Amino acid sequence: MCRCGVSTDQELVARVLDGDRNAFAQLVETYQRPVYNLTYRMLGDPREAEDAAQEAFLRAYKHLERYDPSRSFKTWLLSIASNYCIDRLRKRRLTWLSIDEPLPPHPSLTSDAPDPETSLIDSERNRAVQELLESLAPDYRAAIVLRYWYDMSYAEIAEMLETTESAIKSRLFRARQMLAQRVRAGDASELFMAMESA
Amino acid sequence: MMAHDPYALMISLSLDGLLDAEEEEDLHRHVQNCPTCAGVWRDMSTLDRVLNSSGELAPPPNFTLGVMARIESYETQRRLSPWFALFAVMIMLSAVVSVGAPIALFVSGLYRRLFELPFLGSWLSFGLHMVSLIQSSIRIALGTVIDWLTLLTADPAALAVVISALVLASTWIGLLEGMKAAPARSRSPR
Ligand SMILES: [Zn+2]
Repeated sequence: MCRCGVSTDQELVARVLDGDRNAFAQLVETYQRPVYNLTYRMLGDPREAEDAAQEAFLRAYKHLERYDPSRSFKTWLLSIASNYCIDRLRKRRLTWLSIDEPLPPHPSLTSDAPDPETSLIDSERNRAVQELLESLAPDYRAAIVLRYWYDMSYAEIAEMLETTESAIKSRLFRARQMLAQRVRAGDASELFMAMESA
Repeated sequence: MMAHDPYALMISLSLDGLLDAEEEEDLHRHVQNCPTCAGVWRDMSTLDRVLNSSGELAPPPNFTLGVMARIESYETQRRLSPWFALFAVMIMLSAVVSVGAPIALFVSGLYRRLFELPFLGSWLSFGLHMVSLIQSSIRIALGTVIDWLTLLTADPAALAVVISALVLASTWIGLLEGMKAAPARSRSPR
Protein backbone atom coordinates (compact mmCIF):
# COMPACT_ATOMS: atom_id res chain seq x y z
CA MET A 1 0.00 0.00 0.00
CA CYS A 2 1.40 3.35 -1.00
CA ARG A 3 0.70 6.56 0.81
CA CYS A 4 -1.07 8.03 -2.21
CA GLY A 5 -3.63 5.17 -1.98
CA VAL A 6 -4.52 6.05 1.59
CA SER A 7 -5.26 9.67 0.79
CA THR A 8 -7.22 8.66 -2.32
CA ASP A 9 -9.51 6.41 -0.28
CA GLN A 10 -10.51 9.30 1.96
CA GLU A 11 -11.10 11.51 -1.08
CA LEU A 12 -13.23 8.84 -2.70
CA VAL A 13 -15.24 8.38 0.50
CA ALA A 14 -15.83 12.12 0.67
CA ARG A 15 -17.01 12.10 -2.93
CA VAL A 16 -19.38 9.19 -2.26
CA LEU A 17 -20.82 11.09 0.71
CA ASP A 18 -21.40 14.00 -1.66
CA GLY A 19 -23.52 11.70 -3.82
CA ASP A 20 -20.94 10.49 -6.35
CA ARG A 21 -21.67 6.79 -6.82
CA ASN A 22 -18.85 6.30 -9.35
CA ALA A 23 -16.38 7.03 -6.58
CA PHE A 24 -17.78 4.07 -4.70
CA ALA A 25 -17.38 1.88 -7.79
CA GLN A 26 -13.70 2.84 -7.71
CA LEU A 27 -13.44 1.73 -4.09
CA VAL A 28 -15.12 -1.57 -4.99
CA GLU A 29 -12.64 -2.08 -7.84
CA THR A 30 -9.74 -1.46 -5.48
CA TYR A 31 -10.88 -3.71 -2.63
CA GLN A 32 -12.95 -6.41 -4.31
CA ARG A 33 -10.10 -8.90 -4.17
CA PRO A 34 -9.25 -8.70 -0.43
CA VAL A 35 -12.95 -8.59 0.50
CA TYR A 36 -13.85 -11.54 -1.73
CA ASN A 37 -10.85 -13.54 -0.51
CA LEU A 38 -11.95 -12.93 3.08
CA THR A 39 -15.56 -14.01 2.47
CA TYR A 40 -14.33 -17.03 0.53
CA ARG A 41 -11.91 -18.09 3.27
CA MET A 42 -14.68 -17.63 5.83
CA LEU A 43 -17.54 -19.31 3.95
CA GLY A 44 -15.76 -21.77 1.66
CA ASP A 45 -18.30 -21.55 -1.18
CA PRO A 46 -17.70 -19.31 -4.22
CA ARG A 47 -21.31 -18.30 -4.72
CA GLU A 48 -21.92 -17.58 -1.07
CA ALA A 49 -18.60 -15.74 -0.91
CA GLU A 50 -19.58 -13.49 -3.82
CA ASP A 51 -22.96 -12.75 -2.28
CA ALA A 52 -21.41 -12.00 1.11
CA ALA A 53 -18.70 -9.79 -0.42
CA GLN A 54 -21.34 -7.79 -2.32
CA GLU A 55 -23.43 -7.50 0.82
CA ALA A 56 -20.37 -6.28 2.75
CA PHE A 57 -19.81 -3.52 0.19
CA LEU A 58 -23.49 -2.57 0.32
CA ARG A 59 -23.32 -2.34 4.12
CA ALA A 60 -20.21 -0.19 3.86
CA TYR A 61 -22.08 2.09 1.44
CA LYS A 62 -25.14 2.31 3.72
CA HIS A 63 -23.07 3.19 6.78
CA LEU A 64 -20.36 5.22 5.10
CA GLU A 65 -20.98 8.22 7.36
CA ARG A 66 -19.91 6.05 10.33
CA TYR A 67 -16.47 5.54 8.78
CA ASP A 68 -13.69 7.39 10.58
CA PRO A 69 -11.44 8.89 7.85
CA SER A 70 -8.42 8.84 10.18
CA ARG A 71 -8.51 5.02 10.01
CA SER A 72 -7.72 2.70 7.10
CA PHE A 73 -10.67 2.20 4.80
CA LYS A 74 -9.54 -1.33 3.97
CA THR A 75 -9.50 -2.33 7.66
CA TRP A 76 -12.97 -0.86 8.16
CA LEU A 77 -14.26 -2.71 5.10
CA LEU A 78 -12.67 -6.02 6.14
CA SER A 79 -14.12 -5.63 9.62
CA ILE A 80 -17.64 -5.28 8.13
CA ALA A 81 -17.02 -8.31 5.91
CA SER A 82 -15.67 -10.53 8.71
CA ASN A 83 -18.45 -9.72 11.16
CA TYR A 84 -21.02 -10.32 8.44
CA CYS A 85 -19.47 -13.72 7.67
CA ILE A 86 -19.40 -14.70 11.35
CA ASP A 87 -23.12 -13.88 11.63
CA ARG A 88 -23.80 -15.80 8.48
CA LEU A 89 -21.91 -18.86 9.65
CA ARG A 90 -23.78 -18.84 12.95
CA LYS A 91 -27.11 -18.66 11.13
CA ARG A 92 -26.00 -21.34 8.71
CA ARG A 93 -25.17 -23.67 11.59
CA LEU A 94 -28.60 -23.06 13.06
CA THR A 95 -30.34 -23.92 9.78
CA TRP A 96 -28.21 -27.01 9.36
CA LEU A 97 -29.12 -28.11 12.85
CA SER A 98 -32.80 -27.46 12.24
CA ILE A 99 -33.36 -28.85 8.74
CA ASP A 100 -30.34 -31.12 8.54
CA GLU A 101 -29.53 -29.88 5.04
CA PRO A 102 -26.52 -31.58 3.42
CA LEU A 103 -23.36 -29.53 2.95
CA PRO A 104 -22.87 -28.04 -0.52
CA PRO A 105 -20.31 -29.86 -2.68
CA HIS A 106 -16.80 -28.58 -2.35
CA PRO A 107 -16.13 -25.87 -4.94
CA SER A 108 -13.46 -26.13 -7.57
CA LEU A 109 -11.39 -23.01 -7.40
CA THR A 110 -11.25 -20.61 -10.28
CA SER A 111 -7.66 -19.51 -10.15
CA ASP A 112 -6.09 -17.57 -12.95
CA ALA A 113 -2.92 -19.69 -12.93
CA PRO A 114 -1.53 -20.08 -16.44
CA ASP A 115 -0.05 -23.56 -15.97
CA PRO A 116 -2.59 -26.40 -15.46
CA GLU A 117 -0.13 -28.38 -13.32
CA THR A 118 0.43 -25.43 -11.02
CA SER A 119 -3.28 -24.65 -10.90
CA LEU A 120 -4.03 -28.25 -9.93
CA ILE A 121 -1.57 -28.12 -7.03
CA ASP A 122 -2.92 -24.67 -6.15
CA SER A 123 -6.50 -25.85 -6.09
CA GLU A 124 -5.53 -28.95 -4.10
CA ARG A 125 -3.76 -26.74 -1.63
CA ASN A 126 -6.69 -24.34 -1.47
CA ARG A 127 -9.09 -27.18 -0.87
CA ALA A 128 -6.95 -28.53 1.97
CA VAL A 129 -6.61 -25.05 3.48
CA GLN A 130 -10.38 -24.56 3.26
CA GLU A 131 -10.95 -27.88 4.98
CA LEU A 132 -8.68 -26.80 7.80
CA LEU A 133 -10.42 -23.44 8.11
CA GLU A 134 -13.86 -25.02 8.06
CA SER A 135 -12.97 -27.14 11.07
CA LEU A 136 -12.75 -23.95 13.14
CA ALA A 137 -15.59 -22.07 14.85
CA PRO A 138 -16.47 -18.75 13.12
CA ASP A 139 -14.67 -16.52 15.68
CA TYR A 140 -11.49 -18.59 15.48
CA ARG A 141 -11.65 -18.80 11.71
CA ALA A 142 -11.94 -15.02 11.41
CA ALA A 143 -8.92 -14.49 13.68
CA ILE A 144 -6.80 -16.93 11.63
CA VAL A 145 -7.89 -15.45 8.29
CA LEU A 146 -7.20 -11.87 9.39
CA ARG A 147 -3.85 -12.87 10.86
CA TYR A 148 -2.58 -14.86 7.88
CA TRP A 149 -4.10 -13.27 4.79
CA TYR A 150 -4.18 -9.67 5.95
CA ASP A 151 -1.23 -9.61 8.30
CA MET A 152 -3.27 -7.83 10.97
CA SER A 153 -1.85 -7.32 14.45
CA TYR A 154 -3.61 -8.68 17.53
CA ALA A 155 -4.79 -5.18 18.37
CA GLU A 156 -6.22 -4.66 14.87
CA ILE A 157 -7.98 -8.03 14.87
CA ALA A 158 -9.39 -7.32 18.35
CA GLU A 159 -10.78 -4.00 17.17
CA MET A 160 -12.21 -5.48 13.99
CA LEU A 161 -13.95 -8.33 15.80
CA GLU A 162 -14.98 -6.08 18.69
CA THR A 163 -13.14 -7.99 21.39
CA THR A 164 -9.96 -7.77 23.49
CA GLU A 165 -6.37 -8.43 22.51
CA SER A 166 -6.08 -11.22 25.06
CA ALA A 167 -9.16 -12.89 23.55
CA ILE A 168 -7.45 -12.80 20.14
CA LYS A 169 -4.23 -14.12 21.67
CA SER A 170 -6.07 -17.13 23.06
CA ARG A 171 -8.21 -17.61 19.93
CA LEU A 172 -5.15 -17.74 17.69
CA PHE A 173 -3.42 -20.10 20.08
CA ARG A 174 -6.44 -22.43 20.38
CA ALA A 175 -7.02 -22.33 16.63
CA ARG A 176 -3.38 -23.22 15.96
CA GLN A 177 -3.56 -26.01 18.53
CA MET A 178 -6.65 -27.49 16.87
CA LEU A 179 -5.21 -27.17 13.38
CA ALA A 180 -1.86 -28.60 14.47
CA GLN A 181 -3.71 -31.60 15.88
CA ARG A 182 -5.30 -32.13 12.48
CA VAL A 183 -1.88 -31.86 10.86
CA ARG A 184 -0.58 -34.48 13.28
CA ALA A 185 -3.64 -36.69 12.71
CA GLY A 186 -2.68 -36.73 9.02
CA ASP A 187 -5.40 -34.50 7.60
CA ALA A 188 -4.22 -33.08 4.30
CA SER A 189 -0.83 -34.69 4.92
CA GLU A 190 -0.10 -35.01 1.19
CA LEU A 191 -0.52 -31.26 0.97
CA PHE A 192 2.01 -30.67 3.72
CA MET A 193 4.42 -33.09 2.07
CA ALA A 194 4.10 -31.05 -1.11
CA MET A 195 4.66 -27.92 0.92
CA GLU A 196 7.76 -29.27 2.56
CA SER A 197 9.29 -30.45 -0.71
CA ALA A 198 8.47 -27.20 -2.51
CA MET B 1 0.73 -31.89 30.27
CA MET B 2 0.06 -28.74 32.31
CA ALA B 3 3.74 -27.82 32.24
CA HIS B 4 3.80 -27.77 28.43
CA ASP B 5 0.76 -25.48 28.00
CA PRO B 6 2.57 -22.16 28.62
CA TYR B 7 5.18 -23.23 26.06
CA ALA B 8 2.53 -24.10 23.49
CA LEU B 9 1.11 -20.59 23.91
CA MET B 10 4.64 -19.20 23.61
CA ILE B 11 5.09 -21.08 20.31
CA SER B 12 1.94 -19.40 18.98
CA LEU B 13 3.20 -15.99 20.12
CA SER B 14 6.65 -16.71 18.71
CA LEU B 15 5.13 -17.41 15.27
CA ASP B 16 3.54 -13.95 15.43
CA GLY B 17 6.88 -12.43 16.48
CA LEU B 18 5.53 -11.36 19.84
CA LEU B 19 8.19 -12.82 22.17
CA ASP B 20 11.13 -10.79 23.41
CA ALA B 21 14.67 -12.21 23.17
CA GLU B 22 14.63 -13.62 26.69
CA GLU B 23 11.30 -15.46 26.22
CA GLU B 24 12.45 -16.69 22.83
CA GLU B 25 15.59 -18.16 24.42
CA ASP B 26 13.56 -19.78 27.21
CA LEU B 27 11.25 -21.38 24.64
CA HIS B 28 14.14 -22.71 22.54
CA ARG B 29 15.80 -24.21 25.60
CA HIS B 30 12.57 -25.99 26.56
CA VAL B 31 11.81 -27.25 23.05
CA GLN B 32 15.29 -28.74 22.73
CA ASN B 33 14.72 -30.89 25.79
CA CYS B 34 11.00 -31.64 25.37
CA PRO B 35 9.82 -33.92 22.53
CA THR B 36 6.14 -32.99 23.15
CA CYS B 37 6.73 -29.28 22.65
CA ALA B 38 9.14 -29.96 19.79
CA GLY B 39 6.25 -31.79 18.05
CA VAL B 40 3.88 -28.88 18.67
CA TRP B 41 6.52 -26.48 17.39
CA ARG B 42 7.00 -28.52 14.21
CA ASP B 43 3.25 -28.90 13.52
CA MET B 44 2.48 -25.24 14.19
CA SER B 45 5.40 -24.14 12.01
CA THR B 46 4.20 -26.33 9.13
CA LEU B 47 0.72 -24.93 9.52
CA ASP B 48 2.18 -21.42 9.62
CA ARG B 49 4.03 -21.97 6.30
CA VAL B 50 0.96 -23.48 4.62
CA LEU B 51 -1.29 -20.63 5.65
CA ASN B 52 1.32 -17.99 4.81
CA SER B 53 1.73 -19.37 1.31
CA SER B 54 -2.00 -19.38 0.51
CA GLY B 55 -2.67 -16.63 -1.97
CA GLU B 56 -5.57 -14.23 -2.33
CA LEU B 57 -8.43 -15.45 -4.48
CA ALA B 58 -9.91 -13.18 -7.13
CA PRO B 59 -13.65 -12.48 -7.32
CA PRO B 60 -15.55 -13.39 -10.52
CA PRO B 61 -15.68 -10.78 -13.30
CA ASN B 62 -18.47 -8.17 -13.11
CA PHE B 63 -18.22 -8.18 -9.34
CA THR B 64 -18.25 -4.36 -9.21
CA LEU B 65 -21.32 -4.24 -11.47
CA GLY B 66 -23.09 -6.59 -9.07
CA VAL B 67 -22.31 -4.34 -6.10
CA MET B 68 -23.41 -1.22 -7.97
CA ALA B 69 -26.70 -2.92 -8.95
CA ARG B 70 -27.38 -3.62 -5.27
CA ILE B 71 -26.61 -0.02 -4.40
CA GLU B 72 -28.90 1.18 -7.18
CA SER B 73 -31.85 -0.85 -5.90
CA TYR B 74 -31.12 0.22 -2.32
CA GLU B 75 -31.13 3.88 -3.39
CA THR B 76 -34.36 3.46 -5.36
CA GLN B 77 -36.01 1.84 -2.37
CA ARG B 78 -34.76 4.56 -0.05
CA ARG B 79 -35.99 7.31 -2.36
CA LEU B 80 -39.44 5.76 -2.77
CA SER B 81 -40.10 4.45 0.71
CA PRO B 82 -41.34 7.77 2.27
CA TRP B 83 -43.78 8.19 -0.62
CA PHE B 84 -44.95 4.62 -0.26
CA ALA B 85 -45.51 5.19 3.44
CA LEU B 86 -47.47 8.38 2.76
CA PHE B 87 -49.50 6.60 0.09
CA ALA B 88 -50.33 3.71 2.43
CA VAL B 89 -51.43 6.12 5.16
CA MET B 90 -53.65 8.00 2.71
CA ILE B 91 -55.26 4.78 1.49
CA MET B 92 -55.91 3.63 5.02
CA LEU B 93 -57.33 6.99 6.06
CA SER B 94 -59.66 7.17 3.09
CA ALA B 95 -60.79 3.59 3.68
CA VAL B 96 -61.59 4.36 7.30
CA VAL B 97 -63.41 7.57 6.40
CA SER B 98 -65.39 6.12 3.52
CA VAL B 99 -66.53 3.09 5.49
CA GLY B 100 -66.69 4.62 8.95
CA ALA B 101 -68.41 7.91 8.17
CA PRO B 102 -71.61 6.45 6.60
CA ILE B 103 -71.85 3.82 9.34
CA ALA B 104 -71.42 6.49 12.01
CA LEU B 105 -74.01 8.71 10.32
CA PHE B 106 -76.49 5.87 10.04
CA VAL B 107 -75.98 4.45 13.54
CA SER B 108 -76.23 7.87 15.19
CA GLY B 109 -79.28 8.78 13.08
CA LEU B 110 -77.53 12.01 12.11
CA TYR B 111 -78.19 11.29 8.44
CA ARG B 112 -81.74 12.59 8.89
CA ARG B 113 -80.37 15.99 9.85
CA LEU B 114 -78.49 16.13 6.56
CA PHE B 115 -81.77 16.39 4.69
CA GLU B 116 -82.77 19.38 6.81
CA LEU B 117 -79.76 21.38 5.64
CA PRO B 118 -80.81 24.23 3.28
CA PHE B 119 -78.75 23.49 0.14
CA LEU B 120 -77.11 20.06 0.67
CA GLY B 121 -80.43 18.64 1.91
CA SER B 122 -82.24 19.30 -1.39
CA TRP B 123 -79.32 17.92 -3.40
CA LEU B 124 -79.23 14.82 -1.22
CA SER B 125 -82.95 14.15 -1.65
CA PHE B 126 -82.61 14.78 -5.40
CA GLY B 127 -79.68 12.28 -5.46
CA LEU B 128 -81.66 9.72 -3.51
CA HIS B 129 -84.62 10.24 -5.85
CA MET B 130 -82.35 9.63 -8.90
CA VAL B 131 -80.91 6.52 -7.30
CA SER B 132 -84.37 5.07 -6.64
CA LEU B 133 -85.40 6.00 -10.24
CA ILE B 134 -82.41 4.11 -11.69
CA GLN B 135 -83.10 1.25 -9.32
CA SER B 136 -86.74 0.89 -10.42
CA SER B 137 -85.91 1.16 -14.13
CA ILE B 138 -83.33 -1.59 -13.75
CA ARG B 139 -85.97 -3.66 -11.94
CA ILE B 140 -88.49 -3.08 -14.77
CA ALA B 141 -85.94 -3.96 -17.49
CA LEU B 142 -84.84 -7.10 -15.68
CA GLY B 143 -88.47 -8.04 -15.05
CA THR B 144 -89.28 -7.78 -18.80
CA VAL B 145 -86.32 -9.96 -19.73
CA ILE B 146 -87.27 -12.53 -17.09
CA ASP B 147 -90.90 -12.51 -18.30
CA TRP B 148 -89.73 -13.14 -21.87
CA LEU B 149 -87.45 -15.96 -20.82
CA THR B 150 -90.20 -17.57 -18.77
CA LEU B 151 -92.61 -17.32 -21.72
CA LEU B 152 -90.02 -18.80 -24.11
CA THR B 153 -89.18 -21.78 -21.97
CA ALA B 154 -92.78 -22.46 -20.91
CA ASP B 155 -94.53 -22.11 -24.32
CA PRO B 156 -93.31 -24.41 -27.20
CA ALA B 157 -95.06 -22.24 -29.79
CA ALA B 158 -93.16 -19.13 -28.72
CA LEU B 159 -89.86 -21.08 -28.75
CA ALA B 160 -90.60 -22.35 -32.27
CA VAL B 161 -91.34 -18.79 -33.47
CA VAL B 162 -88.06 -17.48 -32.06
CA ILE B 163 -86.00 -20.34 -33.54
CA SER B 164 -87.54 -19.96 -36.98
CA ALA B 165 -86.99 -16.19 -36.79
CA LEU B 166 -83.31 -16.82 -35.97
CA VAL B 167 -82.97 -19.30 -38.87
CA LEU B 168 -84.63 -16.84 -41.26
CA ALA B 169 -82.40 -13.99 -40.08
CA SER B 170 -79.22 -16.01 -40.49
CA THR B 171 -80.29 -17.12 -43.99
CA TRP B 172 -80.84 -13.51 -44.99
CA ILE B 173 -77.52 -12.43 -43.52
CA GLY B 174 -75.76 -15.25 -45.38
CA LEU B 175 -77.46 -14.25 -48.65
CA LEU B 176 -76.49 -10.58 -48.23
CA GLU B 177 -72.85 -11.48 -47.47
CA GLY B 178 -72.77 -13.76 -50.53
CA MET B 179 -74.10 -10.96 -52.73
CA LYS B 180 -71.44 -8.59 -51.43
CA ALA B 181 -68.68 -11.08 -52.34
CA ALA B 182 -70.17 -12.21 -55.70
CA PRO B 183 -69.56 -9.06 -57.86
CA ALA B 184 -65.87 -9.02 -56.85
CA ARG B 185 -65.45 -12.62 -57.97
CA SER B 186 -67.31 -12.15 -61.29
CA ARG B 187 -65.43 -8.97 -62.08
CA SER B 188 -61.92 -10.34 -61.70
CA PRO B 189 -61.69 -12.54 -64.84
CA ARG B 190 -62.46 -9.61 -67.22
ZN1 LIG C 1 7.13 -29.20 26.77
